[in-house]
Amino acid sequence: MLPEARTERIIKMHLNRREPQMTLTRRNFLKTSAGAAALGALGAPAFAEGDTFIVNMFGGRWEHDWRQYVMPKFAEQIGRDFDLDIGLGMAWISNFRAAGPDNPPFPAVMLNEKYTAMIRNDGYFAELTPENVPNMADVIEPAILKGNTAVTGMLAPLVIAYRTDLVSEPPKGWADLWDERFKGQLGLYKITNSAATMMAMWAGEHFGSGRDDIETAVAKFKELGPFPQIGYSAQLTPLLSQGQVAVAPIDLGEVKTMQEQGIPIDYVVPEEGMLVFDHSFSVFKNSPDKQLGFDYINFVLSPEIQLWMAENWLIAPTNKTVELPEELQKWPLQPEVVSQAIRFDWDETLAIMPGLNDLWERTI
Amino acid sequence: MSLKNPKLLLAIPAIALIFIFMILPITNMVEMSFRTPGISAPFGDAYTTMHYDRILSDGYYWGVLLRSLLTAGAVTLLCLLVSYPIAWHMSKAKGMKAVLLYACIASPLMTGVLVRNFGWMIAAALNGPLNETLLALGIIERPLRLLFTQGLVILALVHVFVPFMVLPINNALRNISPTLIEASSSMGANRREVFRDIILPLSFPGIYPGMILVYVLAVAAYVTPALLGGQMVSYMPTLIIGELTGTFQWPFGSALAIVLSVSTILVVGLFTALTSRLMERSKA
Repeated sequence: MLPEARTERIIKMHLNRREPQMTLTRRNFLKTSAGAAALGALGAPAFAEGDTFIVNMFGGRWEHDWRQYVMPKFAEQIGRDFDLDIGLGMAWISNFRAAGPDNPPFPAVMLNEKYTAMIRNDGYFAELTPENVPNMADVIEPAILKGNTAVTGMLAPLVIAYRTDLVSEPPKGWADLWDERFKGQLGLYKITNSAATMMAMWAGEHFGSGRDDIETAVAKFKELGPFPQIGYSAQLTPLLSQGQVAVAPIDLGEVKTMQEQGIPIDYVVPEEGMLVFDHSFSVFKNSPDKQLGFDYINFVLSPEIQLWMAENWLIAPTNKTVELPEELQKWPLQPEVVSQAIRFDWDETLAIMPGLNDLWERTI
Repeated sequence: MSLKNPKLLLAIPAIALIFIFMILPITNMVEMSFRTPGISAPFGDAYTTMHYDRILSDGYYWGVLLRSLLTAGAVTLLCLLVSYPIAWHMSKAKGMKAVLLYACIASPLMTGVLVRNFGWMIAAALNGPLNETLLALGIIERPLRLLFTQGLVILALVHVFVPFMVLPINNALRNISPTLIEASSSMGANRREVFRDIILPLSFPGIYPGMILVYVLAVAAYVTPALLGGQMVSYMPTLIIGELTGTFQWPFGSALAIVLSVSTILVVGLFTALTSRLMERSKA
């Protein structure tokens, strides 16, 4: 089969995915039940990967694009079918912890560094080097995370979006969110989202004694209330689109999507420095398909996919060899801009997170 | 167990399902709620009562628990008020009218909870149909901020749970013999007395399961308060999810879940005790 035809077949298969037909007779029901029970009793996951290569991805446009445009290329490269495990970092980490480091659900994983840091010291991940992931030789230095347990494959800028028809004077930076003119017009993330964690640490540093000054940070956010707290960016988009909120920190890619839909929206790169969602990729040390995990990360770091993500998602490339085309120059994706983003040590952050989350829930 | 008793054999799949998917997980959760916090694992090796001590000695958790139970109570009572007249009309309907009424009542169950919530988001938007209508009628001068209010959360929950109240009440009303109503009327009872002394007590076998079903579902509701309430107010389910998946404090999250479950069982038990005489009367 020609490569194009094969790719087309894989795409069609995923766009028209149907449940496999199965006649549920008493016999095969009993067989299936017995099999599942036996697997459970042995402590093995009650599902079989078969020949399918599974990776995780966020939902919404992320899933759609990854399934339709990106993964078919990798599936063709490795000659195997693929599937996506759709969810969020917190659910994935819960599953990994429940499974343990010896029983990973799939070969490679994408996580915010916040989540990578939670389990990187527990023997889950293989060390990533240019030998097993050749494209790592071309990534920017900050993309290689502690102990070589992960490499940042996507940097998603977090900017302040505002409705141009509802806001007469746009905010210049994070501190402007406390301006009286935005009272009752803000939408923010839930504290379980790393964006809210980063903003709280920034507020602790800006208004208080340091990033671990959670009392000051939470007290400052209390001043902004009441405001809706949203789990993830895709939930914030409809609120901005409908004008339910006029100002919100949000993933840059969502701004582009709204602008393309004709919504009167613009954004500012905060003068104090933008924040970034850093999506890092790791390989599970004990996966039987470890090599495919390395190949997958190498594929994600390739100039082709890095450029594709920049063009379609406004993701800042971490591969230095990627040249941004002219039409992307208006967005804050350049290495010199991204390198000025406020970054956090997630090991330190995780230490204060339980206290921060608890205080936030009680206070706001 | 022998082949001489096939009824017991037939019950095995049901018993196995309940054991595997209900008894085992709940037992596991109870055990986890007594575990020490884990550092690099979901929970530690030792056992402790510290999580319950923390919940029971902290007014914040009591407040959140009380808010959850009272909100569920308000949703249940509103559901009852809305559902009873609907169930009454359904019990009288025949033929195509009955089919249409059933379809209308079941329709909220045919769409996913996320779709329903986003529907409410659109309806309650500043420029949505609710505000547009109120503005057009001259009832309000400026759009109301309906989204992210407790009122909208309760309204949306009532919308979702009405079928769970209507259907059992409808069944109970259909079981009331018309001769009873005719007899009481012929003995001089007016319509109000007939309803109060005959119909309402005899429909209680439908009201009782409907109220319990709606209450239990409302206490455990997570998606609707999270989306339409905008996380501005904490409820137990959102708190539990936060502990389980936000800070990964599985033992503490399990303890919160057990406290919520036990509280719900106590409320249901109290309701059952208070209404037991009415139930006995209606059965008699």
